[in-house]
Amino acid sequence: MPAKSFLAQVFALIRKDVLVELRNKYVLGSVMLFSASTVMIIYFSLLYNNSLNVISAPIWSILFWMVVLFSAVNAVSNSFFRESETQLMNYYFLFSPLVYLSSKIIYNVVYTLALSLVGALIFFIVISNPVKLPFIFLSVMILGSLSYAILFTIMSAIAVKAKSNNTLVAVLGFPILIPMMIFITKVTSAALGSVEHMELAFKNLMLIGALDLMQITLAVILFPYIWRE
Amino acid sequence: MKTEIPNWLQQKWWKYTALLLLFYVLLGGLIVPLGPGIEAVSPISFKQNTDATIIVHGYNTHFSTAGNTQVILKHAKKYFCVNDLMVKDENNLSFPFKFNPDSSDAGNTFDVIVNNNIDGTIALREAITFVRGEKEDSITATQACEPSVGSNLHTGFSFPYREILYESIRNTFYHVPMWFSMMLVLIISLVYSIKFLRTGNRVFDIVASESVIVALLCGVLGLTTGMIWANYTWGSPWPNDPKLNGAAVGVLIYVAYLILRGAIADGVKRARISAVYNIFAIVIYIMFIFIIPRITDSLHPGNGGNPAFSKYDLDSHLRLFFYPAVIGWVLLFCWMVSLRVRLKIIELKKEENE
Repeated sequence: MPAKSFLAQVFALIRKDVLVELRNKYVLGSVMLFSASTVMIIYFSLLYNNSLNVISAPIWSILFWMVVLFSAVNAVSNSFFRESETQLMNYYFLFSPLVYLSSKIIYNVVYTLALSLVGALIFFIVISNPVKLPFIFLSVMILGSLSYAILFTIMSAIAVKAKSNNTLVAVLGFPILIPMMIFITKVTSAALGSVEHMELAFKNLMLIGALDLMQITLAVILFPYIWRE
Repeated sequence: MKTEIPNWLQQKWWKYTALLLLFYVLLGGLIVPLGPGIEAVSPISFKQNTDATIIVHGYNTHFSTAGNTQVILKHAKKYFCVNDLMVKDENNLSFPFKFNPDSSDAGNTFDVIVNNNIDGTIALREAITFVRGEKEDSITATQACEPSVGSNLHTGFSFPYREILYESIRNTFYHVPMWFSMMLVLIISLVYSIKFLRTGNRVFDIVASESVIVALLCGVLGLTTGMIWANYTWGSPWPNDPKLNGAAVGVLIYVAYLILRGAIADGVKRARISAVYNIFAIVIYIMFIFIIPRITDSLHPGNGGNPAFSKYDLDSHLRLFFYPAVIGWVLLFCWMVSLRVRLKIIELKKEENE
């Protein structure tokens, strides 16, 4: 078999992940339903406490990112836990760790971004749409999903190798997520505010970007050690 | 496999140094008295143009021994010298006061300043407020004066008297070094995790993991001493302070690290995977504790609107105990790490022999 280029290998792995996802549509459906029902819980709790209309920008963004957080943990860890040990062993012999990591990160980033977009859509319809700066909101969605996806990819890889379950992913990932969560919710509430917050939003977006870059670097350096049998 | 005990662990001199320093800090930190200060002034408010008798309560002061005690009140950048001082005892004095302010002067508070040759100059800012009324020219009130004071400095060895802190300033020797020790032990753990990934020597993994356990101990001790301190000074055990939250996040991360270690049965795999988690976590964590306090205000010195640590809070007398305390505690915690490491190495050797 002729050796394929790095990108071709990465895309082959992503294609495989997408096919598996589409074959088991109920998993995709359950993840979507998970975020939809979380939003409905929030909606009903707000509605019957007469606070649907008084919900402030920071609270809106915190609730929104909490919903994305829980669906992201589920979705990302699923993409690792559904692979059997034999499968992982096969990949270990067929691909370099960097290929496998890149494919998982790209796949999970797209997946998390899609989840957060769907989440935002349900939020807009059911709760409210307070977004005043769509450009900043979209940027923070992309950078925030990137943070979530990279972090939970690494944590899922660790948990899979520890032969544990996705509770461990949450336990390992949540404390590390705190700094990112602070900046992400700050930018989101700025995007719900007015133009005055533009400068603050950009400063925090840069910080999220820096944290993402740091995470990617760490992941690339450290993943081979997790991957080794 | 090479399982020799690292050389520095077996030397004794630094352990004795730690004990000596901590003994010195414990003893000296409790024996040295607090410097003089004004604890309270009563009444805290009076009406203008009426005869008021003002009582000054000092703390560790020498009003009667000093002899040349004088009291000066400061209002709107003017000084008012007080006559007819009645010194009751070392810590209490009173004087009559009548005030007839210019209506042009802003504000309605007095700073109370006391000076004598033993205590130096001590002051309580905005100690008394007065209720403004009409200016009456007929009344003879205390006149503004040009004060002449002797030495401003307190004679004798003491810790600085700070409002809010008072005697609890001695906690500086116990609470602050916990944070220093935690950071140092975590850095040791980071270095040994990297060393483990590069060499695969399990002794390095043992050093890394035992350091984390000791760092957790420092974190919990730092949080506890801080919570007790904050409860008496800032009025709440958890005052939403970024430093405090940083320590709390650190504790969360490292408890997760221990859970991860517990979840993996195989020794070599456990060592490798937990080293990866340790490196990943510590880098993000260090970014967290260095960035967050700089973007928000902190009650701690040196952050937000608070004055810097070395400028204001640490005077030369405190430093004589603070630096030894930091070194002593850091060495003591390193000693703890070394004991745990030696124990684990013995267990590892036993495991390999079986």
